[in-house]
Amino acid sequence: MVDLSSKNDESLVALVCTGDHQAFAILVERHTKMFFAAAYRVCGNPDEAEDIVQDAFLKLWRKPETFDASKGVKFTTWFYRVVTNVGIDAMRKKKPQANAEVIDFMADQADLADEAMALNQEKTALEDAIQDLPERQKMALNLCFYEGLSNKEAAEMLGVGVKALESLLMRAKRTLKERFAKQEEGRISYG
Amino acid sequence: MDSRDFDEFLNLRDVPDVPSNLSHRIIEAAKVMPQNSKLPKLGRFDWFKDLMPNVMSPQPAFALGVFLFLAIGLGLFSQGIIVTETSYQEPSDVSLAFYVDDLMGAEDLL
Repeated sequence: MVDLSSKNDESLVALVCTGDHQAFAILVERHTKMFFAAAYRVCGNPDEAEDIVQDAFLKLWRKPETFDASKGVKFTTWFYRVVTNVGIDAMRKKKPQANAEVIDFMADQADLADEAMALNQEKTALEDAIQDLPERQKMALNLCFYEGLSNKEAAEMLGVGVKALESLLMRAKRTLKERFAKQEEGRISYG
Repeated sequence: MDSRDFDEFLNLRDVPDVPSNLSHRIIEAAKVMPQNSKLPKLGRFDWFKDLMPNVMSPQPAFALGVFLFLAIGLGLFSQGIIVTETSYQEPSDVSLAFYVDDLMGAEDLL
């Protein structure tokens, strides 16, 4: 068997187009962790993130020819868009969460030490706030702040100009700041 | 909260660890899934090409199915004819009966 692990992503996708399952396996092993994180940032739920990543990779397997390396786009940039689109579609079809998950979460919280619990609550509040952002603001924040893409790369993925992307990023941060400022005021007045 | 503090706050966001078997599951799922390019493309008359061998040298199940279909169709059709015959009346008889009734009614009014 030929060792394909040294090949770049674009070459591997070209091999996947010929039905090479080994090339596909290498792409999956190479990028699952990164795209799981990206999917999690879209949906905020680890189980759904697994489904999103799996669906995205299987789409790649079924139709690898949809990636056109000649356009000069990196595979990872293109696949981010696939994962994001699959994630957004999944979120739109999602039904409201059952109360059982909230109950389980609260039961878990009771076992933690106070300080750790406070930190956990902050993280949960942050995740909820980010998930409540308008889609494009959330995507801008995820791509620029968490995925570490440049403004130019992120703007390309969102299909907007760089200025529009910077505006989305600014609005996302402002929305989050206002939300947490209100929560803080609420705590002070009732505390 | 200034920008730097807020950015540090944003960095609190956690991503859970990726499940260790996720890659394996994806790779295995792809093994049983055909690529779209490998599926045969259906031409306009492929359905006819598939049908003709069954018609010329009928398979037993196909022949039985056609027979049952014809039998059911014939049965329904023949039931319809019987019902129609028993309830059928010559139009001229019916209209004559109404005409006579009309005449009787008119005379009473006059």
